[in-house]
Amino acid sequence: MNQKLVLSCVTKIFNSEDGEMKSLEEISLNINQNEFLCIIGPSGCGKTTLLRLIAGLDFPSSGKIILDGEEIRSPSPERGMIFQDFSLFPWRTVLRNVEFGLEILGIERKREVAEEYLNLVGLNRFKNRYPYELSGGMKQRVAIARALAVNPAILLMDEPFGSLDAQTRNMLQDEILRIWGKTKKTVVFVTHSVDEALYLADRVVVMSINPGRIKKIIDVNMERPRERTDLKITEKRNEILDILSVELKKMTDR
Amino acid sequence: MKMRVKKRWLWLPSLAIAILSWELIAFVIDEPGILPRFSMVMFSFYELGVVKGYIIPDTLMSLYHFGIGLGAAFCVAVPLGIAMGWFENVFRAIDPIIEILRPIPPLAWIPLAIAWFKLSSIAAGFIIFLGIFFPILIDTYTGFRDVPKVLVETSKVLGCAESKKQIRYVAFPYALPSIATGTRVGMGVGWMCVVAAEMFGVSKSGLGYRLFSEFNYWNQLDYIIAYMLLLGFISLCLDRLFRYIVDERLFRWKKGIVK
Repeated sequence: MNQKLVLSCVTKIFNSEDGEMKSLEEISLNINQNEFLCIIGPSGCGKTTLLRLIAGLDFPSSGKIILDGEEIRSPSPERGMIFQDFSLFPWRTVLRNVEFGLEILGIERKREVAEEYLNLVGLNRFKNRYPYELSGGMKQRVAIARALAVNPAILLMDEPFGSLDAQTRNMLQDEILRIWGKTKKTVVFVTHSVDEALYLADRVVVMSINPGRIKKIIDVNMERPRERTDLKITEKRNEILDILSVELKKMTDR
Repeated sequence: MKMRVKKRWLWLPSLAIAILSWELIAFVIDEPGILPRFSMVMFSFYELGVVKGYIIPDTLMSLYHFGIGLGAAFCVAVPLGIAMGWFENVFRAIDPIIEILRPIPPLAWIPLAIAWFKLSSIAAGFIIFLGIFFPILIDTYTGFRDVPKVLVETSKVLGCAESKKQIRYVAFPYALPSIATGTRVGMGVGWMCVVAAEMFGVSKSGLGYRLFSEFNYWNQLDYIIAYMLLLGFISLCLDRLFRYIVDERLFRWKKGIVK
């Protein structure tokens, strides 16, 4: 198989004042080139932590994360990240936000490249606006364009549509599929919505809580565009929901 | 539209009432040694400005002292504030010293200012510096400490590997409005120190010097009040100028957040 990203026995322990907290335990996972992988789990299961480890913003307590044969030790434009909170730089216009990474890397044709990606997300008309003038959905599209502009090998998305309304959310799901199809990126997408995961992913990783472990990996294996009410999707949804309800029970029983 | 015009000139009637009441009360008291009439004060402006030719050189001298203080305060407070705001350990190390020095009134520093800088414009600038320094410092490090983590992490993921780049591309632009606020507050405090800075005679002109060294307290209250009003008016102009330059040009992006 064409393995892009390999996680082997990744454990993450946080030291807090109440002692050690095991956030992730022995996560082993292979992510293929050009795969769309969703990670789902109850809140607190460490799915965001996992993404941050891949991004290089945190470091595993033990285990290794290897991208294209090289161990990840620090953040890099190789791995683009979209945060749940709107993370645009408020003092920069839309265009200058998209240019940011190109500017840091010292790329000369930054304006052209930025405009190309703004076109891709359909926001070129708004290039001279400031973030405060944009809606939530538009902000996330700018963030996507900004992450893509530096041409990362892999795109990490941390509940990127979590704070958007349902309509915008559906629209952006289609949009991200379109962009994914066009740019052939490897995507790791964290979400708490089962529907979102099943609509988007090639595989869905379902996580358990306390400590965060991989409970099950579900192959979706269906043609896109998918019908959200498809019978096969409903089956898989029930399967995932069953796992999650057990996990939630674990939390409330404690 | 009509409403907006009205709001804009709202200060005018209240000012007129204040002046009229002043004139009236002074007229009734009829004792210039306690409260000279407003019209007398206005006439003093003419005497001091045109006949004696004090006002312009005094204003320039005071602005010169103020400029020394402002320039020095900005150059020291901003880098120090950046270091304190960005590096937790620098903050821990320096904050207690700052908090001991901060409450000391600039007035109390006058003997030291004279001892260190003699009777020079630098000594006056130093007193004003003390007034401006702390507001800029505090607002600078507050601005830096408030930088949202997600913006810094975004910059890391986009290639800002070292602190230097994160400061330059993220923290500094983010903190700039806060630095500007600190500067504006500092300028107000610093201007209040001008009189103290000049009263010990570092120069033979200056608004503070004139106020304290040349006017006779009892017979020339009209002169004194004229200079007090002048001090207030100049500060108002400085503040308006600052706001015009900074708010309108630099912070267009903040509009959505503030207004």
